[in-house]
Amino acid sequence: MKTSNVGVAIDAVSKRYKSAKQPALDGVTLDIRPGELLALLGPSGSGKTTLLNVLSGLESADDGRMLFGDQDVTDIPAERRSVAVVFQSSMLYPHMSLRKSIAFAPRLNKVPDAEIEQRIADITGWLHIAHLLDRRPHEVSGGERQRAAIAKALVSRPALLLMDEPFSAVDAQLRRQLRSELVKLHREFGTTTVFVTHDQEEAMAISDRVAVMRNGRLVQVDEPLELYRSPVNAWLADFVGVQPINVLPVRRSPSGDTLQTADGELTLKPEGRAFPDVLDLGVRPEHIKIIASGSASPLRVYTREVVSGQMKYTLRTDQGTEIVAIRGSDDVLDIDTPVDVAVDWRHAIAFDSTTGERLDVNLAKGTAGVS
Amino acid sequence: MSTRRRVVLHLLALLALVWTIAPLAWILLISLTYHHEFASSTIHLLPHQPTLANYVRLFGRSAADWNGTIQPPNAYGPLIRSGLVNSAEVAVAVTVLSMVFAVPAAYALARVDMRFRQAGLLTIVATRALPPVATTIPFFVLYQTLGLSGTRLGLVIAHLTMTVPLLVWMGTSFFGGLPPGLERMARVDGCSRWRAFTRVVVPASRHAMTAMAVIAFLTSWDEFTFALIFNTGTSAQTFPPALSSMFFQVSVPTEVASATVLGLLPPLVIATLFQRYIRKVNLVGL
Repeated sequence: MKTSNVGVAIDAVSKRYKSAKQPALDGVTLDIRPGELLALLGPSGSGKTTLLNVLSGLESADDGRMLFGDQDVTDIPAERRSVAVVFQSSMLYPHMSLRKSIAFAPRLNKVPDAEIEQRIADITGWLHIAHLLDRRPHEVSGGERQRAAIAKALVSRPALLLMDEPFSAVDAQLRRQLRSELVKLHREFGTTTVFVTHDQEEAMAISDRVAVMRNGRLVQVDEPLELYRSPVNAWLADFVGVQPINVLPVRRSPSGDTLQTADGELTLKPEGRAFPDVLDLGVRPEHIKIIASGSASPLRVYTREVVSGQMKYTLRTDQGTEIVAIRGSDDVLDIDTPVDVAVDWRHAIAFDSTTGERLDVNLAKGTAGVS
Repeated sequence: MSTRRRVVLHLLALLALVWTIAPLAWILLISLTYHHEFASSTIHLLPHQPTLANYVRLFGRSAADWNGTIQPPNAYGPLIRSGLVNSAEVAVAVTVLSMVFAVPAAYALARVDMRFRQAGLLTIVATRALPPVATTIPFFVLYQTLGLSGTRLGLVIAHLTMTVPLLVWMGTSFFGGLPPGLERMARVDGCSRWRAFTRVVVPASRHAMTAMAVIAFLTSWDEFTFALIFNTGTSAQTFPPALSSMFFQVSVPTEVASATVLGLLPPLVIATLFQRYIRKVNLVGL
């Protein structure tokens, strides 16, 4: 049971609320591929929900155009746009049984009753809520409500499914379960879907591509792994990833082929030489290897935590430079143990120290010693 | 809850029940008693010789007294009967018009993002702080000029000044309590703004709106001050002042009691019919 997939083209869409200093959307251009599950990720106030509302037609754009497939929908109101929205709250009509809520939209659109019944049976079977259809929303659990809301959205076979932080109100365990159900459902129905979230883990987990927004603009649109490996700037590098990325302000040492931290205590030696004299070095904790311990090292174990069965160490120099590294839990290091580190240069990223933009610099294939 | 606490609570509830019901029950019993029995014997609850004569005489017929002598129709019958009809007409009109004005206003104040929303609500609700007496003189002068004195329309307008703010206040809190994205969901489902209101918001708040209508009706039915000052002695006189004049001019408690019971019936029936809606509605703060 596949729905017809359309792509969505968003072309230079802008939106400014009255009395707001900054535009909520500032010339957003984005192509959503047919059948894609795209996560719209960003901190609160970044404009992601506004973009969703503009896509749904609930709010109008000040500027720019939007196409669903070949159809220009810019001036078409929400009720005639063939979109379905799963909202964060108020997912179902409080005065109707789940069945009536789910059937509401297709009934308005004059879909024959038998066909509606068939669709409801299919979808609710998939979502394991077929036995709850005669209950009211307040008579089922939060997770069941969420499932019913998804069924409600899918039953009208929208060209575009929009989800606004649909799982933010349920507990972590259920959220993970609903997420993986959503991915399966998307495989099954293939509806073009935009999923708004501020949770980067969620975005990375479920989506084909992630569009990251900040201050009403798109920062980067990429596949999750690409986003993780090649973030366009230091802000994004820090925003994605469960553990924050290490960003060390460094400069070229007098000898010319190594990088030194500002306090001069750490010297790192990338393989490549073509780096600027000053840069911010970004390395994720899992790409820093704690290699050996020698009492001469300026780095010592400052704190340690257990993270998903691994050890996360915060290493610190006397001057206060900190590096976070993840390491297996077989051989746990004591606090204050002196350590050396090696950077996996294939995954090291160079950022411009003033703008934070990623620099096209290859630091790879080098090893680092600490002197 | 401990047994002792439960017993105390039940006793208190029983006391409240007796406090409320006893006077009404007594009025009912008095209305079923001959004046002779009521006036001559010591106070007792159940009539020895129960009768509907007081009611029959109110409805313009003669009826036999305790000793078989025929009593003429009650002289106040026409006044009470036209009072009941006027009250019903006024209360129904007030109910309908209150809903027509208050529901959209409350909806807009609760659900539409606009400037001066809070100020608007406060202004409307603040008029409730005025006791009706404070506005009677201006109303009276105005009505003399406009020819609305002694008319049901005039009384309807006066009652609306009481019910509309009350209903707007109630309605705003009801509509405000609906889930935040309700209309947006309806829009996405294919409803226009108007259809979202009629197909989703109204059915979703039908309990609250029933309660609003009942309260409008009861407020108008019970209203005394305006009715007394504007319409006493006219053909538009409603039940409360009619009963009041009967009470002060007729010294027959059994007859007054039967008129009182007639006036109690409509609100009693309405309250009973709709009690399950009223119960669901949070009236705290009203």
